[in-house]
Amino acid sequence: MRYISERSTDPGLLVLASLAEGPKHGYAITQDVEEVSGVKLGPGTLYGALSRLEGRDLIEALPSEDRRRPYKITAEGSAALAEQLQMLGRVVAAGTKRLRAAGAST
Amino acid sequence: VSAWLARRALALYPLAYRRRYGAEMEALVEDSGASLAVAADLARGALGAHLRPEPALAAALDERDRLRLTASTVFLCWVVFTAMIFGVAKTTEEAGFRHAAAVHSLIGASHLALELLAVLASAALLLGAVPLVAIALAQVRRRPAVRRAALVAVGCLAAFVVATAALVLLANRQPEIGSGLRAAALTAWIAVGLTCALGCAWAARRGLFAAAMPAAALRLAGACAAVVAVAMAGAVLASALYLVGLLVDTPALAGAGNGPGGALSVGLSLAIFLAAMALAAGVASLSTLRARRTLTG
Repeated sequence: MRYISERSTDPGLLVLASLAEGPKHGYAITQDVEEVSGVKLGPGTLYGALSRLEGRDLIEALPSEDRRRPYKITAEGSAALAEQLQMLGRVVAAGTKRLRAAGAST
Repeated sequence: VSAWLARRALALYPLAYRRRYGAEMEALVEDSGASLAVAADLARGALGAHLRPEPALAAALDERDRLRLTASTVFLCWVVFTAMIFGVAKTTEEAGFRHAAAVHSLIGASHLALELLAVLASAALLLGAVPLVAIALAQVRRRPAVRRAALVAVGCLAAFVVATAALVLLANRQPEIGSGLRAAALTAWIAVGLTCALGCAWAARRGLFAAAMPAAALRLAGACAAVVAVAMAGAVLASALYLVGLLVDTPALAGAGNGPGGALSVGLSLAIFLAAMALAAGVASLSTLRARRTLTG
């Protein structure tokens, strides 16, 4: 299994999840991420994530609209996102089950 | 203030990064509003972009810009490096150090190597810079940005000449000034000199990017920058050996007081200079290596 992230709020994961809905530019991504996860991505954090994702061909830039360039998720990006979400799903399921078990025994 | 800080933080990003994402990031800051937190986030992002550069972004710079970037970065490093060499020379100018260099082979050889490498670095820098300066000066009338850069450089040089003249006048004043005032004047002169040198380095970068430069002159500057970086690295090694020699062979000299009021020892002063030289040489080497990697694919 590939190593994914040391944080559950990995900016790359949040950006991929946002772009899974469709192409968005920087401001739209920050708005969407904040609405979905409650995490506010600063411009430095967002573009750090965008440059890494673009460098790994997980997203691609679309023609620029003024200075606001939209990005879209690639097929490889969708596969990476699905893999990460599956792994997180297993962690969530196991963690919830163990918390419940611990709560029942105390 | 927040908007100004955010713009300054954006300017901290590597050139390739700004070329690719700068306009988008500016638009995002405008849309979401500037704040101290945004400026801090940008500054953190800029640091990360320098420390972990995205290889794919190298394509955002063409050969000429890559060479401009390396030449101007190495020049800035050389400015810092030269200031530190000056500090080493001032610290070790007393007769006791000359005697130690004559008696102890490690001290003598490393000091000679340091001097030769400093001269080599300066000669290589001049060889690479003189054609670029001449080409840029020929464009002063046509290009306002080049003119502004030239004016800043001339202003810095003029300020340094005035500060040096004032220091010389003060040093030769009769009756002689007290040691406290002398130390203060020297410290002020060093501060002015360093500020002027950094101003020149800033102007050189601005002028280099604003002027149209032939590829051949930039390639020569790139090759010279590599020589400067290697010479600086060698000079760092020589300085380290000099310091070791001083600590081992002449501990009394190394432990003697130095600086205003003898606040620091000679050994500690040299160690501080050495650390700054190593930083400058490291950045210069990294920049030339990156240029080499980019240009050779």
